[in-house]
Amino acid sequence: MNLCRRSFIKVSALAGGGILFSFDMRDGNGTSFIFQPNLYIKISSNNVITLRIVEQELGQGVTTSLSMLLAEELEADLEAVETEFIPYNKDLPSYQDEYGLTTGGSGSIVMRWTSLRQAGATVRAVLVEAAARTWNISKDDCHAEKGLIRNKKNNQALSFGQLAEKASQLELPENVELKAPEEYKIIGRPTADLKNKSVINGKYQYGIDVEIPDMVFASIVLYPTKDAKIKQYDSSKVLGLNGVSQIVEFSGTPKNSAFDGSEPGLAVIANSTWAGIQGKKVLEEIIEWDYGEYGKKDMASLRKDFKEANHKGNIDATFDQEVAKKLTVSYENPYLAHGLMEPLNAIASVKNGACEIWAGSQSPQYTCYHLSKILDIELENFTFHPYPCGGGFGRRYFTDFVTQAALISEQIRLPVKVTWTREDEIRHGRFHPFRQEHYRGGLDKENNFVATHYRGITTHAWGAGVDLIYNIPNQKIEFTILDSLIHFGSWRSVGAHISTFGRECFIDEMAHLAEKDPLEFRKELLEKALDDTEDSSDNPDRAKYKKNQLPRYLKVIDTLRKKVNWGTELPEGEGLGIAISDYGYGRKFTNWRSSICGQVAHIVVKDDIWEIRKIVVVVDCGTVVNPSGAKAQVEGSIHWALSPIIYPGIDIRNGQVVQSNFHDYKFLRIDGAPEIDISFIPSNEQPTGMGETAVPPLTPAILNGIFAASGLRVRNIPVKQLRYRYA
Amino acid sequence: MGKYSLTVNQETYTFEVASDTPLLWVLRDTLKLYGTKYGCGIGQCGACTVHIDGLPLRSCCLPVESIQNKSIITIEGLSENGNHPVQLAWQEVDVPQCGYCQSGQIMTAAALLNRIPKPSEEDINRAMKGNICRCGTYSRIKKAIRIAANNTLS
Repeated sequence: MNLCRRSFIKVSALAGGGILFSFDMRDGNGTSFIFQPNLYIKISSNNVITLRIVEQELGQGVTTSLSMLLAEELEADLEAVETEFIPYNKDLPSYQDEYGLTTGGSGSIVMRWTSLRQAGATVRAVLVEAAARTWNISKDDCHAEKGLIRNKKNNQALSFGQLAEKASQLELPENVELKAPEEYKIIGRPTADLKNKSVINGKYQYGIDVEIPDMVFASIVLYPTKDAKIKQYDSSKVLGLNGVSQIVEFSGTPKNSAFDGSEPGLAVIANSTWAGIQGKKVLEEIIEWDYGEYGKKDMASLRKDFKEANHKGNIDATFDQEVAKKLTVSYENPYLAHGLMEPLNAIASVKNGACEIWAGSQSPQYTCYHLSKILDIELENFTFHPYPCGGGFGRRYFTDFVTQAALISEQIRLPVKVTWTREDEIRHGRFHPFRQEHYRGGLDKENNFVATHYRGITTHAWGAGVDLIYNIPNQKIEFTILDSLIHFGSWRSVGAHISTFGRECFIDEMAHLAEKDPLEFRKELLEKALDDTEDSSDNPDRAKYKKNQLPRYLKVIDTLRKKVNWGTELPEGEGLGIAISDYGYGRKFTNWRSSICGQVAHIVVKDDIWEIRKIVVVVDCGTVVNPSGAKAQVEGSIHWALSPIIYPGIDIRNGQVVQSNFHDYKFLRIDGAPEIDISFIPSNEQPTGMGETAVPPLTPAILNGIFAASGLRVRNIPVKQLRYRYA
Repeated sequence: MGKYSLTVNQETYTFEVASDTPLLWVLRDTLKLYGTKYGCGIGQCGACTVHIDGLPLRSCCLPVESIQNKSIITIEGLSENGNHPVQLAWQEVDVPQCGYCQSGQIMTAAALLNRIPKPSEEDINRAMKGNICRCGTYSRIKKAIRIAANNTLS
C-alpha cells in the first residue's frame, strides 16, 4: 500500500519560517478527492519537529511510540519531536463518519506502522533534495542524521529547519524506501516516555486541569437505576448553599450504537468544583426516588435469571452417549468497574448553533457524531479539543460524560465544566459484563479430547464471543444474552478477558481428566490443529490464520516451557499454572496475525493463604517499537488483571451499585504487586498491539497455579476460598 | 466564607473561600496549581498528596481553616527544575504511564526518603500503600525509590 502519491501530501510554508507537511492517510479510491489531512508534520525554522495526530494518549505511550516511528525514517532527533493532538472539526478527513479514528483495541501502532514511516521517509527525501541543491552536490553525497543534513564531502551541515523553506518548493518523491530492521537506530531501543519530564513537574495537563473563560462548574446526580424517576426534592435546600446558582435537569439519551447512550440526571451549577460537590451531596440526600422495576433487582435475582436461562439450554443427548469421560464445569465473571485515576470530566460550550468540547476521550469524533443528532447541531459546527487521559481502559470510549456536559451547557447557555466524583465513576460505570460460562468437555476411550459444548450466558450483547482455539472436532457454542442490571462496556481487553479465563481453566481441567500435562495437552492440540488441512481447505482466512498464528502460539508455549523449566518438581504447596491467549481486532489488516501472550504463574499456597512467587510472561507482538513502553504495558496489564482476582467486583442491591469509592471497591496496592519476568519473541514483522494483550492470561494462569499448588479448583473471581497474602 | 492565607511553594496567597474547602480545591480552583490531583476525595488514593512541615498529607481531607497560615509544598515546588532525586529517578526508570497518580506518588516517596534515607522493602510498601496506580507502575516505583535512595546525599 503506497501512500506516497503526491495527491495525499500537501506542503506549505509556515509564516515566520518552517514547513508544514499535511498527510491524508486514507486509501484514495481514484474518484473525486478532497484533501483533508489527519496527520501533520511541522518543521519550524528552529528545528523543532511537531507531529500532530488524532490518536489519544491514555498512558499506553502512543505519543512516544508514534514519535519514534516518525523520527526513525525522518532521521529526526527524538528529543526534538513534540506531539500535538489535532482537534476534531470539519477539517478532518471523513469528519462525518460515525467512528473516525478512535483510540482503543490496542490498534494505534498497528494502524500507523507503515504510513507514518512512509511519511517520515518522504519528508526526509525532500529535505535531502533541498540540501543537495543548496550545496550543488548529488543527493548521494548527503546524509541525514538527528535533525541535520550533512555534506559527506566536507562535513558541512544544515538543519531541517534551515532547509524547510527551500524544501517547501520542491516536488515530493513518488516512492520512498523504508529502512531494513538492521538499520533501525530508534525503533527497538528502550525509550523513556516523552511525557515524563512534564509529569514529574506536575505540569502535564489532563482534561480535568483545563479552565476556559466564563465557565461555571457542575456536579451531577445521575438517576440511580435504569428506570428510576424523580418523585420530588426541595431545591431550596441546595440553592441556598454557598456558591450554588441553579439546578438543571438533563434527560437520558438512547443507546443506538456500541458506545453511546447516557443516563439522565441533575446538575448542581456552582462557582467552584468544591461548591458543586457540596451541593451534590445535599441534593443526593434530599431527592426522593421511584426506583422502578430495576430497583427490585440485585445480584441474587440476576443469578436466578442466569440459572433459569441455563436450564432452558439445548442439551445434546448424543454428547452423553459418545464420550467415555466427561467434565461439566462453570466459571463466573463479575461486573467490574474501571477505577481510572482521573475521574471523568468534560467542559462543554453549546451556543449560537455550535458545540465546543474540551475533554480526554478515546472517541472524540464518535462522540461528536452522536451529539450532533442529540443537540440537532450540524457536525461542521463541532470542535472537540482532546487532552491526554488519566487512564482510558475502555471507559473513556463512551460518550455519556461528554453528552451530559453538552446537555447542561445547552440549557444554561454557558460553558460548563462537569467533574465526576469518584463515587460517580464507581457507581455509573460502563462495567465489565457479568458472564457465566458453562463448559462440557468429553474424552474418548483413548483420552482424546473429542467434544466441547460451550454455553455462555452474559449481560453483554456486543463482545459475546469465545475463541476455542484448540479446534476440538465436535464443538457447539451457544450464547444467551440477558438484560443487564447496570450499564456494560469495554474493560481493558474486553471479551478476551472473560472468555480466556473460562477456556484456559477448562483446557487445564480437561488435561487433568486425560491425565496429561496441561502444557503438553495444549501443545498437542495446537499441533494437531496446524496439521489438520481439512478444516481450511475451502476457507482462505482460516488457512492464513493457521499459517500466521498457530506456529507463533507454539513458539510462545515452547519459550515459556524453557523459561520456567516446566515439569520440574516443586516443593509442597507450590505449583505452576499456565495460560495463553491472543488479542487483536485488526487480524484481517495484519494478515491474520494478532499479539499472543503466554503466562506462567508460580503460586504458593500455605494454610488458607495464597501468594504469587512470580509471573513469567512471553509475548509475540511483532516488532517491539519501544521495549520500555511495551514492558510497561505488560506490567500494567498484570496489575490490572490482578485486582479482580483478589477483591470483589460490583455488588448490586435495589438495582444500584453498592460500592462507592476506593474504601469499599478495592484495587491492588503496591505491596501486592507481584514479581514479573517479561520476554518478547524477537520479530521484524508488523506490530500487532500491546495495550491489552497481557490482561487475559493472568486469571487462568493464577487459578491453574492454585490448583497445581494445592489441588483446590477455583472457578470464580475473586478467589473466595483462600486469602491473598497482601489483600 | 472566610479570608485565609497560605504559603505555597514559598509564595504567600490570600483568598476567600468557604471554610470547609479542602486544601486540594484551594490549590486547584483558587490558586490554579493543577499539579495536585483529585482522585477520590476521601484520602484513599494519595493523588492529592502535598507536604506540610515535611509530612506527606492528603490535601483532599484538609479543610483550609485547619491549616491556616501553614507552609505547603506541592509537586510544582518540590524542586527548582525537576532535579529532586526522586524526580530524576522517576525519569531514569521511565515510571509514568498515564501519569495522573504520579504527583502524589512522587510527593509520598520524597517524604519517605526524608524520613528514612535508606528504606527497606517493608518501609517502601508501608509508605507507598496509600497511593493507588491503575496503570500498574508499582514495580517501577519501587525500583525508582531504591535508586533515589542510593543517589541522595545523606
